[in-house]
Amino acid sequence: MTGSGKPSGGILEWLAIRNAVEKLGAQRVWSDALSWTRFTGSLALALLVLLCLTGVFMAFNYTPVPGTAYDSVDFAQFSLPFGGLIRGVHHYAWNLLLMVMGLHLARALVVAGYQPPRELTWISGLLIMLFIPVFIITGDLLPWDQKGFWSTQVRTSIMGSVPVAGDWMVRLLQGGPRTGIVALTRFYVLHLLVLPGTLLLLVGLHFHFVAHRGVSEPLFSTRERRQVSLFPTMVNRWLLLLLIITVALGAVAYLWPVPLGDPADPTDSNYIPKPEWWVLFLNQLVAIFRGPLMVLGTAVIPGALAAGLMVLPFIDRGPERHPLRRKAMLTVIAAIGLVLLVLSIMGYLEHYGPPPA
Amino acid sequence: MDENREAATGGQRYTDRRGFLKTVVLAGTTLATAGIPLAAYFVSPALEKGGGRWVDFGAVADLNDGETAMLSFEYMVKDGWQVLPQRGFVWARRGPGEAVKVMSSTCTHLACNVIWKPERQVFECPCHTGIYDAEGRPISGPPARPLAVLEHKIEDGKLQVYLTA
Amino acid sequence: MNRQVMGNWMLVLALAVALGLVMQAPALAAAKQELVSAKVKQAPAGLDDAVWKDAKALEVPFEGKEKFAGMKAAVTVRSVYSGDNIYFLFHWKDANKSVTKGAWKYDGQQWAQQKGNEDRISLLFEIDRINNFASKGCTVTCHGAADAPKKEWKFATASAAEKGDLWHWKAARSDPYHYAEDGWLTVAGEKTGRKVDEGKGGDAKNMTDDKSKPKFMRDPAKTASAPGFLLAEEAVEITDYAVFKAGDVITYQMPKKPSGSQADIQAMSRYADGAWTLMLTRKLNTGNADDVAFNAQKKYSFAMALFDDSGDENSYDSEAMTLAFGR
Repeated sequence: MTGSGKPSGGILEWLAIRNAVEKLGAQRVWSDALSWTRFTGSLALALLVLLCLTGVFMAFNYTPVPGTAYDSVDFAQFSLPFGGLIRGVHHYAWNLLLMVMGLHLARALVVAGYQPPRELTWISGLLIMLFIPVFIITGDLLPWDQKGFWSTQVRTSIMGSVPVAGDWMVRLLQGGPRTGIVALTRFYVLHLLVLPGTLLLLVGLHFHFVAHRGVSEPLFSTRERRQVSLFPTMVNRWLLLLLIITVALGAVAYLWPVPLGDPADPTDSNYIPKPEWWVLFLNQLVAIFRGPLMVLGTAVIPGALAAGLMVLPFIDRGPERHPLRRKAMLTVIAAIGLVLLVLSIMGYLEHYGPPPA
Repeated sequence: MDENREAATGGQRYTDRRGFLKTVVLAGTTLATAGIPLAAYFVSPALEKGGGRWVDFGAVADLNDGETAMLSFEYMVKDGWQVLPQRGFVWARRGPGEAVKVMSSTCTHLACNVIWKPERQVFECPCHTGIYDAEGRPISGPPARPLAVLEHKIEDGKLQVYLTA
Repeated sequence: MNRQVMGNWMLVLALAVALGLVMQAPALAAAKQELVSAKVKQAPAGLDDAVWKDAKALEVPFEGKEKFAGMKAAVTVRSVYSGDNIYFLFHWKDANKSVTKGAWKYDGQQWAQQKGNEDRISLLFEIDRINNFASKGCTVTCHGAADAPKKEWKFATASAAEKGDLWHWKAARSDPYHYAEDGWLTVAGEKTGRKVDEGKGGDAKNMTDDKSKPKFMRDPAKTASAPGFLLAEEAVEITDYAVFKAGDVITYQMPKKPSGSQADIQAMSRYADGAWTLMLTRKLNTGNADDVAFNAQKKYSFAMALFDDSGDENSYDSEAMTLAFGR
């Protein structure tokens, strides 16, 4: 090989990526890794890509200054071509992402996908799931509208009720005692820089374990499993999924334009923020436990729930994976799920139902 | 003799360990050197005290005996690098006699503003229907602590209230 | 296989429906009153057009200020949009039709200005966001030192960056020409922050230099286009005061023909059975810098004021409301 000009190995050699490309080309994955019976993970990835893309472009027309922030979002949404669609896709994508991740988790619970050797796949996935709400909390404030501002007030006071460290956490997060320009700037940097960086790491970790520990064997299908190439077969399947979900969310955002509420008025005592659907159960927990017990609802129970999920792979170590042979475990999980659902419905009725007589 | 042999056979490992220790020391020093200023930079705005001030709410005589009145305030505060008006209101109750009680409007549950309902003589929080009596003691709903009583003084017949944050 | 595929489609469908339902929910949360301008194919031709049935009526409560303190009023508002235009229909009870506005009356000996103001209704929109207008309404446009008497308070925005669009229908001064005064609101100068739009309009005082009697009368050569009102364009200087007899009435503030951006808002009105019915029409986007440009995708905050035979301080005010557009 001479040092000058294009070497004989072609463009790949010249770019010094031939080894990597060959390795990738030889990579084979189970055909059912993205199929009708297993698509929530791939869908979640597609949604993350969409969120990233729409988010970056929204940032091009955004200024993190109270008041001005609202004007910039208003301008982007209503005065720029496709502004409403881009914000709409971002909005619907994270709502859908929560649901899809819920399904992803539920599936792993039912078919015991968390059992060894996939403990770390499960844990890294859980970390991603617990991480997404931080995105939502920081992102909600950015448009500086009434809903975002007052939701932030409720969230920071819930955070502040955590004993000892609560007040400190709020101050650190907001950069002071009040939700003003310092807080908005912090939320902005967290939402656009720090959190996506961390998420990228977590998603990389999740995929690392998926690649090395494999996906769980199908329980119900009797057909023989076969392998396909990662590139192009599997990648093409995923791209098709990405295309479909992009068009679908675009259509949803077109048909039901995402609203932009009134600009935030920090002095408006009349505005009552309504908790969003995904946080209704938490809100209900907060409402049930009062006074000195409040910490149960705000920290102990949610924390225990998360910790329980974390240690699940070390409790239910298998090898039984079939749900019918794991009745005790699934009964406990279903009971907890039911309680969360009932709490959510109670919360929904309280906040969105007809006013009490 | 033993030491020599160990050095001879495990020479490679010995160098590696030293290299690793070096890495740890270097990285640690760098982290501390850069980390202390960075952490201080990040944390310092959070340390800022809200500060307090005496706010003049006008003549005490304007308050009717036995009634609870909403007193609005506005003053400028500095939020980081921005100066902004801080607006809000407190609840003041006069009577019996000359006694004045000034209560914060902030619900002790989740910091919504409570509203005085004169027909029922209670404060109501619209967020989770917390109810306080006229003295600000929680009666029903989520709140466990009474409404904060604000320090006040009367100078030249004018009501001054000490407000923080 | 087919059953499995179908099952999965059901799952996707259920997910989509769930998403839709969840997304609809926050719409119920609106605490502010919302006026929805219905999209209609045929523009309303008048006050009784059947198309108004397509628009949902909003009952807007008003609270009296100053002279009317403690009193309440209500206006029924409807809105539709069609093509380039937006239409508003207002209906409110008013025991008396007031259009006097200080008109001259001759008692056979001398002229005197009658007591009596006029009925008015006004709307304020945001051209450039007015801080906290969306939550507090017109109160944020009321500026004055706390110890200054209310009369010295100025109607204005807090800075030149905040800009309001003021629609102001006046029964005696703008209605005779079938329009509503089109003004805008900015930071206060010497007086208020109220400005009129580009162009001509408004009214002219009909008074001799010694302020004792009217200076103009109807030009006999012109037919009265607004019976009961003397329009500035139909007026001629009075040469012989002997032609008037006792009981004659002459307009004091003569409406001037609006033009330019001042002629943007057309009005059609009727006073009958103790109530005013008023329709206002404007282009969704006039293209003028002193007007709010409506984008049917967007929601707008607005507030209203009602004047019952009264001057500027004595009004009934509404809270801030939302104007949304149907699809």
